[in-house]
Amino acid sequence: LRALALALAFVAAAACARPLSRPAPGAAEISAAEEAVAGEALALLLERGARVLAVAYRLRTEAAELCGDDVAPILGVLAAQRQDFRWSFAELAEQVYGVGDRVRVLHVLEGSPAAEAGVQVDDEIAAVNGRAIERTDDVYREVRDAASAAPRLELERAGRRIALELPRRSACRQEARLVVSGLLTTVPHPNGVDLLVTTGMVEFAESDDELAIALAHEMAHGVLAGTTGSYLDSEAAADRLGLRLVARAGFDASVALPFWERMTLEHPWAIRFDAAWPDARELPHGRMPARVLAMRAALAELARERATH
Amino acid sequence: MRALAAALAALACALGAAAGARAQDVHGRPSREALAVEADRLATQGLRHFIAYQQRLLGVHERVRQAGAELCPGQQRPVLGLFAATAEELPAAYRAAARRDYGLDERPRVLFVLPDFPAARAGLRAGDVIVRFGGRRVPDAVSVLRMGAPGAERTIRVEIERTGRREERELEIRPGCSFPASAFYHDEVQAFAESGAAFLAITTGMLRFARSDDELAVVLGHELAHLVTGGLGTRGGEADADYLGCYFAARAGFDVAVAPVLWRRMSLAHPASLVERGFYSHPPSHERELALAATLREIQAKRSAGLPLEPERGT
Repeated sequence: LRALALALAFVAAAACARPLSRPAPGAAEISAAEEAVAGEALALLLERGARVLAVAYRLRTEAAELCGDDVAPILGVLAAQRQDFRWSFAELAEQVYGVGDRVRVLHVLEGSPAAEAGVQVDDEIAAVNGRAIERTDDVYREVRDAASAAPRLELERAGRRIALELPRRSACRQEARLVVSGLLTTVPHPNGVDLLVTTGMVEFAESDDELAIALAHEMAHGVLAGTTGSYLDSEAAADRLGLRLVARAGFDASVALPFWERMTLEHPWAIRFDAAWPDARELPHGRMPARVLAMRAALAELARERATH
Repeated sequence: MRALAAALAALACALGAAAGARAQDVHGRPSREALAVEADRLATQGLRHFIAYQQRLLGVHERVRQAGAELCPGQQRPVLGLFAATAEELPAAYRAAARRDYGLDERPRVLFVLPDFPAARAGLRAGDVIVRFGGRRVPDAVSVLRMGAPGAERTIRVEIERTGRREERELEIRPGCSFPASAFYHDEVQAFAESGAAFLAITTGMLRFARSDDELAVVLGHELAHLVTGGLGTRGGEADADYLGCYFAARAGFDVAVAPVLWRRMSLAHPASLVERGFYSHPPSHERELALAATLREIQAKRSAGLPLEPERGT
């Protein structure tokens, strides 16, 4: 058997010493396929962006009362400039959607102030409340900062300047912005107000109810910022307020427990519940045992309230 | 804002009160006992899921590396078809549950065996402690997988401990490619095969992403091909791994027709693969799709003609 094995190994080694002779596609074929795949990926990204916009819009407007003083007018658009796209998306966004240095409207949410005022896809946002816009961030900031005013937009449409005044609708302040990443998470936006949700998280959320739960948890962190002590307290408090936001906006809060438990299957480190764990680093969305208890109590409370009303 | 905080604090107290007196401390926070009960429940659930992840991975990988044995000359180890672990080899959050639910300790203990593979055929089963393997003591489960490059023998002797009694079993030696696979927790869709490493590391993100065992087999075949050819980090190396990887998966009886769609989905979910970048070694996915389509035609033609599934090589 050893002799046979050696002989076989020799034959095989001789075979492997020769380079593989694999099929190789031609350059023209490759470039056609490249465009198709990249276009599909960009369309998928915008579809996800529109989904985040719709779910976040409903949360922010329907549950505005629960955000206390943290409210501002809302637009209801997905807007972007070339710099917002990474990798080959930037070039493609320019080719396919005409996205250049100006901030361009890519999607208008039905029933939103932007839709009611007549904002259209492909409009370029030149100014908000009289201030010139350079970055996508400027749009959201200007609308947010003029909290008491109805937003006034100056748009470029097919070479013409148009001024529109949008109905003022009060909403929780945070914009939910999509970021391309496989990580299952939401994090505060570096601008200190908005929140970021990953494409990984959007895919992981099996329904809009689940997505609402993830977004509302992060929104609640923003609303509660500075009002609570330890991280443990703030996670549980964010769950309690988050579930109220979800329920107020008419999403199904009861999927919260199965959703976070499904997340915990992917993140075993989130099971830690005290400082005695070997790794004391604080990770976002950890402390699941305390959070499960807080969510269970919050859901029971919501059910009682529903029963008495 | 302050009014809101006060209202929330009041709400927290009310919720705490509603949760029952024993479940919380004097500050209205959940008690240690209540937290421990939840942590146990989550860990038990998580550990079952972890084992299911490893079971799926091993179920596909053992088939792929066994069927690909001839493509790995000089890089072979026996395919056992078992998953064993010490408590320390599991994620920290699962160790207590593993000790309690599966009796894990500092010795490598079998968590599952795959039907029809040598371990199961020799009568090994979940709960057995592996004491000696081929006459040598094994300190942990990793060393079980590293031992026993096949020599002339047809079988290997394994000493196990079952319900406190030592027993011996003879395991048939089935050669396969050397490299076992292991799943580790990470959200991103990735698989690593570092040259010189003993393992293929597959992220849990990848296990979720591969919707079928056929897709998983294509990924594992690709990574095995890397280790066998040693062509890491180059475009040509990646294309070679795609080509050879399909042969690995096809030889194990998996449907490699899923390969182009798999890589397309990958490029849609992970657009970094659409461009060539210094740090990103995989070829652009569109190019990959076209090359794979041609590879599939080649494999299909060999199948139809009743020819062995040997990759083509230059002279």
